[in-house]
Amino acid sequence: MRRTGHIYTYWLTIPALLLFGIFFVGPSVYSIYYSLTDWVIGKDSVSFIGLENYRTIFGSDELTHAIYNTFLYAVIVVIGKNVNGLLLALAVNTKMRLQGYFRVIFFLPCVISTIIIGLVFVPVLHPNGILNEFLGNIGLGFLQQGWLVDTKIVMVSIAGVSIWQWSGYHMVIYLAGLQGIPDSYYEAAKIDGATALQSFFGITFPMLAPAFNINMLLSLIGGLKVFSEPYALTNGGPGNASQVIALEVFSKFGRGQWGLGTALNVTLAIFVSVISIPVLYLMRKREVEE
Amino acid sequence: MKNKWIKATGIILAISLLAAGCGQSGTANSKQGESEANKEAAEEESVKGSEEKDGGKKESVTLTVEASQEIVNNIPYAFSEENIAAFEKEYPEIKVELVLNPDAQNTSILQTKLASGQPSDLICYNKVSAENELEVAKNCVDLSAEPFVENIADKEILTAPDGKIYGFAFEVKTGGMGVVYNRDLFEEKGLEVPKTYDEFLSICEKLSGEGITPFYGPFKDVWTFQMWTTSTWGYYVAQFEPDLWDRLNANEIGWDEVPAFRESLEKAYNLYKDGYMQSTVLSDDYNSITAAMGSKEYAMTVGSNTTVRDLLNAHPDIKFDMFPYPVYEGEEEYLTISQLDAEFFIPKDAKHIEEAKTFLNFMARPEQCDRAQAAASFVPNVKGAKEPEFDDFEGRLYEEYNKTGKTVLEMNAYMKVDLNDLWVYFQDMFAGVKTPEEVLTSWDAAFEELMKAKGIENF
Repeated sequence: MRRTGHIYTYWLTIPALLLFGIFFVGPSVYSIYYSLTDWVIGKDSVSFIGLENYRTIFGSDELTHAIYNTFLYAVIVVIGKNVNGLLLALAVNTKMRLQGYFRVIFFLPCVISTIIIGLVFVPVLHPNGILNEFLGNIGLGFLQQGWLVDTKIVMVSIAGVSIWQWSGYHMVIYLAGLQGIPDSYYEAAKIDGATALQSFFGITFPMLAPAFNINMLLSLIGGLKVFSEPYALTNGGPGNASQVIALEVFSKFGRGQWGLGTALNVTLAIFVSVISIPVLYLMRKREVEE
Repeated sequence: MKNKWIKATGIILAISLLAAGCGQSGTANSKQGESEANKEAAEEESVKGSEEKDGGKKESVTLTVEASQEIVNNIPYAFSEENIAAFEKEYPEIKVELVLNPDAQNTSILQTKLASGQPSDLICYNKVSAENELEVAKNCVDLSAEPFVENIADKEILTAPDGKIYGFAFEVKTGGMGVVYNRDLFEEKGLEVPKTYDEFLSICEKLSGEGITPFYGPFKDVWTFQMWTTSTWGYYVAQFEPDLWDRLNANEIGWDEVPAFRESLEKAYNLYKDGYMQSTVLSDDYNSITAAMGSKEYAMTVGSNTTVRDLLNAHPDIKFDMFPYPVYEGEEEYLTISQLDAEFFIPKDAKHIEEAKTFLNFMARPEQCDRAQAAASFVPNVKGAKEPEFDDFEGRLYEEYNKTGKTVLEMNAYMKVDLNDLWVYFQDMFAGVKTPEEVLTSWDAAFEELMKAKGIENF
């Protein structure tokens, strides 16, 4: 049978490109322009002010703190979700009773709305809440914390809730990767006398490269764009302790500081691109090498 | 052969489904067509009806009234269903439709609609906030010459800084803010309402000694602690430096240069630090007040008339009341009152300006005020309207403070910019991130930025 290179002609992509152009490319280009203006609600004219909004962002303690929090959160969730997701995948990939049941249970939190998760976890993490009560009752009272009110740990608490919610999602991707590894590799390794750890680092980990890459990237981008978790759990508080870039954007827009809000949004887009694109490139390279 | 049959059956099924779909769609279309025709006929009839009634050529219009959920809940008399029904009866060609916005987004929705020239016909908003945040002088219709203005008992209350009247509100503001307390608990422990800060502290000490947390701080919500500052600072300025708001708004003095502001913050923070507030102030929100104050584990909290009313409704067996914050020692006790809320404005770009004016002229009649009293008691600002029937607590406050003129206007009423940053700094203070002095220094810088962004002179 003769195979042609393309089933459809290129012009069939025009509707999609038009939609993409009108609803994504256009507004994105516009937003770069507006980020260079003093656009605020109620002002009759919008004036070009150069990089003033960016100077405000990087000169403000609160906004730089929000940027720091965003990165801190991203690092914690990337590590947490992937380690947890991989461990869960390895666990539910072994033959055991109630295997399907466990898979569903671990996956379930990610189908629940983050707002609902927030409503559930706020009382759980209250200083007099279930978690602290539990820790006290099992003799671990020294671990009791003001999880969502202590400014030193609030971001870690929020990241913890997110890791709890999304580990199951990453587990599913790892599980798909694990199930794609032929058993014969492990059998051969076993015959050669490899230990379980050697099998993991010699077979499982390299063979999981595509799943690992997609999980890393998804959790990294999700981490940098975080909004709903701090919004639902603390609304950026106490004070500005858990502010992140996306929450600041929301707040600036809500208060009519549209130019500054747009500049913050552009900053976030730049961060996501500058970090994700090289990461993607490096990972793909590794994938090819493997 | 078998495949052929399957294909043929599939094709027939597909065609049948298509035909059925077309048929259904045809039916639906025709029904829709019928219903549209009926609707048009009904509309024609309605318009004809109103034309016949008035002898003119009036068209049916829907008058949109936009407000936040919170304002509708807190000021029910402004949205009395009976009043709206009476209006629609008198003006059958005008239907009133309420557009409700979520509280958190209300300001930005209204600002966006005003900026894009597509506002509702009437906007209901707090007076001073509307002047600052919605720029009513620029965006709304001047109503100074409307007939309803003659019915207003106290025009000064409705007058904007430029001397014009841009809206109508039913009431003369009486709602106060202060320390909400459990009166039964005070009586049980033999405590008197404190007149000075020292008396307040000794009450705290006594209550604390008896295992009762004196003051409940629901400061998880960013707006709750500001009831303390908008009241105490408002009182301080009215009593001791009456021109201070003007000087702050003209950038003649910084917020961190007013020792009295710091003093009020320090006093509040010390209550928390000294254990006179619960340790979980930043985890407890405003809604938790009802359970906390009902538990008798706490004696006092921040709040307003609404807080007391809500507590009385939730715990009818307990007496709650309110007294002014005894933070500064002035010559006399004054109750801080909040700015006039629930004022109706007509945007310049509204579609039905004349009908909106008709609505306001109708509402500003004494009989509408009297009817609205059924929704909640209020002191009307309309000549000839009846005095309200207050319950014990509100009646006492009205007699003791409002009628004797012993009230001062809250600080927020004088502000031209959003105060959210300041409120966030208050939380920083309770979180131990900022000292009271740093709160004021940070706010001074943020205030300058906000005023500059708004194009206000001297910033």
